[in-house]
Amino acid sequence: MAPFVRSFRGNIHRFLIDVQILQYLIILVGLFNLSLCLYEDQVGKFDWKQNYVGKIKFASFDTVSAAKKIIVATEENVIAALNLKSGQILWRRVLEKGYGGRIRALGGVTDGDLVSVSGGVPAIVRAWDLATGHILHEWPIAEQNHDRRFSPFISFSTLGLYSANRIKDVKWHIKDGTLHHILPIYNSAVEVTSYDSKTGDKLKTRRVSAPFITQETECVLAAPYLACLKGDSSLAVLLLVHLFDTHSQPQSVTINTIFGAGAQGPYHLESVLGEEPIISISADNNQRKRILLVGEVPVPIQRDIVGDAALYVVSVDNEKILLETTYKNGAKIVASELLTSKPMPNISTSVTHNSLLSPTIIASVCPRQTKGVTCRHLLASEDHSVALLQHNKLIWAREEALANIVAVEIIELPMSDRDQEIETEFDQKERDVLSMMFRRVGSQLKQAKTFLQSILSLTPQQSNQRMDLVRDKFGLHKMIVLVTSAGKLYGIETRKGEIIWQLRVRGIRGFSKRSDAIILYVQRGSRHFPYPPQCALLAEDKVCIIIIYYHQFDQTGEGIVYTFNPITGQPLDGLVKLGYRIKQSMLLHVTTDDFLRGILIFDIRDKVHVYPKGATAIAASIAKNTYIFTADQTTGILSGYSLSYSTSQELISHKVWELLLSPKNQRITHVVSKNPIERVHSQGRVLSDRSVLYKYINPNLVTIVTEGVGHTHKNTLNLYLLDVVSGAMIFSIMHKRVRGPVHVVHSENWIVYSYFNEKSRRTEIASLELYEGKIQSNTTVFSSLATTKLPIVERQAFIFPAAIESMRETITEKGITSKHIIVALANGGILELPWMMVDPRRPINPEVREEGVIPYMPEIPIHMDAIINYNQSVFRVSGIHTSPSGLESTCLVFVHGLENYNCACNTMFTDLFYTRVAPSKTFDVLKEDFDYYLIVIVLAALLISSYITKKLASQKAQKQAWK
Amino acid sequence: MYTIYIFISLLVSVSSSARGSELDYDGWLQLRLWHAFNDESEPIFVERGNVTVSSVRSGASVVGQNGLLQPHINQLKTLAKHDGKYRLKAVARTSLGNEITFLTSLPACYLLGSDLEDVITIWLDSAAEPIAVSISSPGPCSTENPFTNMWTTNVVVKYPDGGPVPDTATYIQKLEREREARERGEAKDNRSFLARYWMYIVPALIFVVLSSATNPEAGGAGGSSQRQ
Repeated sequence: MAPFVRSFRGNIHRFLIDVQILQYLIILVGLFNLSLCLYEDQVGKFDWKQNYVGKIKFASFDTVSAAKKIIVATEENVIAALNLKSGQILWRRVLEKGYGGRIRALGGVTDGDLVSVSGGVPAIVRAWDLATGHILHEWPIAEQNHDRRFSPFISFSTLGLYSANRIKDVKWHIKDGTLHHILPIYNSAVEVTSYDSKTGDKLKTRRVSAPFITQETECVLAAPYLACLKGDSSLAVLLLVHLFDTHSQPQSVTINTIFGAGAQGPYHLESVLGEEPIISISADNNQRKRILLVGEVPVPIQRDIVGDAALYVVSVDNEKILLETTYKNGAKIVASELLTSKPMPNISTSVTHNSLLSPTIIASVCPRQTKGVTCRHLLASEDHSVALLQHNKLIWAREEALANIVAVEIIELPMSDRDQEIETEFDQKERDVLSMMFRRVGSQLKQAKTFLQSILSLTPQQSNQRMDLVRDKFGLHKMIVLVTSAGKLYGIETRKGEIIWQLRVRGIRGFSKRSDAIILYVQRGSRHFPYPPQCALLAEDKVCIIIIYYHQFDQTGEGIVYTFNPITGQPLDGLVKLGYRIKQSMLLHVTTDDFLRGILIFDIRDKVHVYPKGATAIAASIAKNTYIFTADQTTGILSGYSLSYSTSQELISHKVWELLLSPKNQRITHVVSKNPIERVHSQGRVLSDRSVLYKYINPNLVTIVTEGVGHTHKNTLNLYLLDVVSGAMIFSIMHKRVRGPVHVVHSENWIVYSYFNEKSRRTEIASLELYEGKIQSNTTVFSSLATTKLPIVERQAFIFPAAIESMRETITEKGITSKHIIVALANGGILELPWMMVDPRRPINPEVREEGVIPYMPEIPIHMDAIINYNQSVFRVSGIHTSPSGLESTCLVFVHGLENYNCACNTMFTDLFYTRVAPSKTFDVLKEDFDYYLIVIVLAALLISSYITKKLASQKAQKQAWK
Repeated sequence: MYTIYIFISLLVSVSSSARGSELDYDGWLQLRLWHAFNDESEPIFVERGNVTVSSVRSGASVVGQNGLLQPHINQLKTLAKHDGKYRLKAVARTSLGNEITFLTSLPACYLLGSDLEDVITIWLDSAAEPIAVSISSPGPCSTENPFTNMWTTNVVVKYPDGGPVPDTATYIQKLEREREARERGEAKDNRSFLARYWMYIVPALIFVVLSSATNPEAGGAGGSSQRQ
């Protein structure tokens, strides 16, 4: 023992070095463990992201900087710079959400500094660096005016309709580094306050007398004048006020001097875009309009312009040129000299392009170059797309409608041509032997031919579809069908995010009662060759809106159905007007003989229709067990209908239950049902004592969330679970002192919802889980009518350390994979939160550990490696769509924004992000770097060695036998 | 002919859980019941009786209703044969004077199977206003004549549970307890350094010995030290 100890002492310094190495080793091993999430070369491999800016509100060409670009400000509260040549986003800044970030004015680009005014009370003025998009200066206009009633700067709490209107009246003008805030004061004057746009110093306040301005006066800014239209149709007078000259008197121009005699009201005033102070007045119900040059002496141009022409004034060599844009099967821009109306054909253009639809010029610039004058026009279309036009040519177009997605479906791609042939060969239809044989020989000959062609490297015949748009082995390559609020449809493939097709449906709008939602149904998938896949769009007719506008009676939006092929973007039956208003709709789960699933439509007179008509018999055959429920947000009435008295010709509904969530106390905000394609794999949960707790899996269960209204019930949140077949309430829960935004996920036997806790000032997630108990009522099928026992409800709440924008659960084909919740955070991250973390059965004092249950912790930690979009922040998410892939382990995730508000102007800005997630790791896929050769060699070696040893063993046995 | 029968059923109170009632208000509630047995899409309602809930918080109630007449039972039987639904309309009057109409239904055969036994559940919201009235029956499904023509009605009043809140207090207590336990454990543990950490020291020693055995230089050094 002693010598060993001595040797140990001698080695002590070496031991220390070893320990150090050991430490490094441990750290190194630790690092390997940490980097299990995503490797750098995997970035963008399974995911893609597309950025959009939204519908253009203001735009300006930046001709001052070295790099030419276009500065845009959009309805989605975004300021961005677009590359002049390609239309790509150079930089993009997202301002505050909603009202607080609405951009009121943009200017100063020609002076080399960009100034924006955004928000309402207080308005925030920002000066931006043109090259990088960094904020150079920022200051609020927050001063209190002496007369509070006339001031727009009223705190938010007192912000009523009155002050909101006043903010609309405020005009902004940015010129030469000075910001002018123009506020009309009723029956008295116009107050013009000037600020230094960079420092925010107040330079001057003037009051220009304008006693004619009242609340009804229509005023537009044609700097340095304010033009107001006073009086109604026949004796209307246009009044012009010089804003920077306090001594001047308002000039007046009668309508007759502009239009001559015989013009009919109502008149409408508009300022013509461009650098010049010009206004346009439309008359005769917007049939024609004329323009007026505002100056010391106003000059009316005695020429009629068609009412729907969009105007812009651009200057070429100090000459003012009027551009009139009209649209008729293509955009046409007619240029003429402003004062003489002399046409200028060298500047006039006409362009026909798919992405131009009733465009208006938002910005235009016509520099003189060596070859002559070349004009560049930035066009914004009705469908929110933006295009740059240069000399009869469309340089680029951006599909900004994608910033307003209202419906999403992810659809499987069809099989390749070869697979389709095999499919036709073995189709299910009955045939006699001979024709079967002919068909078989024929298809085999065809296969042999293509095989020979491929061997001889002859080019195969071009098929009607793109070669890469076929189903892959694992069903990961799919088509995303998007419906935007502008009525435009897109087909985007999932691999690269490329837009495959786009389709414009004119004259539709979302259901006004359901916050502009458009419903998209997949009537037939791509599996039923030779029938084409079919999607149907349910929306309201937009044309009727105009009818109300003119006839003043309510004949709003009758329903329409629009069917199309989701893979190619071809319309199938086109636009079908239904002639009744849609209250509720539902996709039937049975198919007709040609594999088409009918749509059951419930109109406001409680009549049931089927689309297509041919599916009525099929619908009637299952009518006995078909139920429909409706929820009305305004009346708070929820009703259930049964179709059991239907005949095979006609579907008849009758009400079987009705309940009332009184609108006096509460307002329905969410009605959330389960995903109809969801499957639940395990029926119960194994407890620690090996007994089974059975899940309450009721496919008819719907979560209804209401928010309290009125003084006493304000800030309460009610959640009801309702069986919509039997009409039985299953459970109700109430949270006090909490408020929205509420996000609900309802899946399997659980509900997870998030809300903001007013008392503790934090976001919380609550989760409910429903169990039948230790005995299952019916092991094979669940019946809402036969089950009377109420389920056991487990509940728990957690603190969530971030604000939530949207939530959705993952879904897989067979439901074996554990569920995760995809949570979009306000900071731009998308978190993959395992459901296990919000399991209400997480024990506070774990005595006996159950399988897969983590002890309770009040706060849910956000792990950075669970952020699936790593550094690709996605802002203002309002919709997440999940879809199963062909692999059980993998779920496809598509994240987008959505117009959440009823008000069409209050749209949301969005990015598109697509990725795939594997909640239980990819247990059914080999790793990418799996060593196939090694396993082949090992197998081969084993095989050979077993064969050899067998031989040897038999030889040995033989030898022994001879002995 | 009419035998008037008043059936009084005393009421079950709900949720004995610690969360308890979240109902701030108490009041009474009156339900007038109409029912329809006709096998058509449009219901023909006839009066069934009434339910008075004297206190919504305790759920105590009085049920007053007539027995079913033979023609009605026959109608119910035909309805059950055609797999039809027995529909019940309830008009609720609250102590605040509001009148709300509810409709509920259940397959007629369950009523026959349970000999006209049913449960009427009244759901209230946080303001003690009724939001739903639903009827259910334990069944089983049958189309035979019931033993009695008298209703056996139970009335259950339900109100919303209080929502869960993050349980920080218990968690902090648990952490405290654990910390105390650890401190106590550390105080007790007065074994020697070697006794406590032998499981770490032994592998390290083996590692050192092995590395010195494989490294000839180290072996030499070890030898020299041995010679000293």
